[in-house]
Amino acid sequence: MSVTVQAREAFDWVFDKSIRENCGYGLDEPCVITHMNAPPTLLENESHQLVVLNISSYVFRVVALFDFAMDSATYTHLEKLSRTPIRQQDKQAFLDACSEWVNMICGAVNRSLSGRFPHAGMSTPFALESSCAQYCSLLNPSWTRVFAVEINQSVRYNLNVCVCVANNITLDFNLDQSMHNDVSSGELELF
Amino acid sequence: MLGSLGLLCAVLLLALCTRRMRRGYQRQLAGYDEMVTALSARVPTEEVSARLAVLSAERDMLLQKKLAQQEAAHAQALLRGEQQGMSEREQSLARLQDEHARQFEQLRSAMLREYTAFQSDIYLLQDMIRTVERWHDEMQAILVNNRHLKEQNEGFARIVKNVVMLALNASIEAARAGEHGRGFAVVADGVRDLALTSAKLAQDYRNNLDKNDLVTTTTFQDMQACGNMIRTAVFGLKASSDKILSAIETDVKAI
Repeated sequence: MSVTVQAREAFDWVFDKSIRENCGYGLDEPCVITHMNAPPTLLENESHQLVVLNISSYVFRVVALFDFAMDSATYTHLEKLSRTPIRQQDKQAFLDACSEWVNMICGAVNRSLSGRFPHAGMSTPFALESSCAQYCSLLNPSWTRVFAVEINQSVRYNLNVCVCVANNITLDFNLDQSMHNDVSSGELELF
Repeated sequence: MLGSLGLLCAVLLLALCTRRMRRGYQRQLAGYDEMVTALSARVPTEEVSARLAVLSAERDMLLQKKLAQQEAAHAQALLRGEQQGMSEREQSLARLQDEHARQFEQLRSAMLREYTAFQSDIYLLQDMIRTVERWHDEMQAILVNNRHLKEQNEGFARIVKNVVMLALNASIEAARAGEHGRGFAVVADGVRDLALTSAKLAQDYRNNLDKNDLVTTTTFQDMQACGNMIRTAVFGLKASSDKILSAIETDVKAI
């Protein structure tokens, strides 16, 4: 059970594309995505919310863990995205807006993957406590990638992608990127 | 005398020869007369040509007529042969068509039976979403229970924290009591150690609940996503089976 370099690049590309397409700003707006191999350590006093979503195919699944900072910048951004006022203390409204955002991003990923994996299915998003994210190794992922996203220099969230491949399977695929080569705005730093 | 005799003989001989020649000439003349008579009875060349032309025309006409008759007879024979062949072919085709129609009807009936069973299975599979909803409810119950366990654990952690504070206060009071409080200080330290151990246990328990939350949620989500994956596949199968039914019905109408 492993993920080839080509497949990793395809996952990187499809998540980058989906994050940018759904960042809430036009494609020309600054959306900086930093690739990391492990999530950054969260500060104790920062309030965060984890939203988890799963994309499954016959031989692999992708667990996407979105870690949102519950700060005013995120609230404001979510208000803009959902076109609905969200009160700062309304955690449920915040969760609903986050879940909708996650749905949009993962929906775009799923659509891109479904060309290569025709029946790939997607779960609904679920909210968990941020502290759960540190136990991703329990999912026995074949490959993990963290996307640290910064939109318009104010909104920040981390997306931890765990690709779990079935036993004795090497996941190898590529995606047709030619249709989307024009989506290249923003900066991309690879570590 | 001899000369006269010789002359007489010569005259006689000449007379004999002349008589013979005259008979020959008479016979020749009779032959010429016959030839003249025969030639006099012959038709003139122009007439012969004319008659010959008429005869040729008649001959050609007769030949044409004969050929036409033969052709007509041949064509009629061919037609009869063709008609017979066609009739036989039509009968053979009709028999084959009946046989094919019977076989097709059998095949169609079999396919319709299979299609009905297939559709029934598809409808059942479409209820997969209800199974996923059941899993969802069950997982929600597990998550709610986990949350309840976390709350209980937090309550336990608060109590432990208070016990630690209490043990600390007890240690302070024991120190104030001096020599008399030495035994009490030992007890307070023991309680404090127990409280700290309990606090660690509560933290470990909380970590385990976090692990449980993550694994439970992602496992359920995998099941939910797989349910959607199966539903997508089933919709594809249903579309294909509808096309098969449409093809069967179209073929029946065509027949």
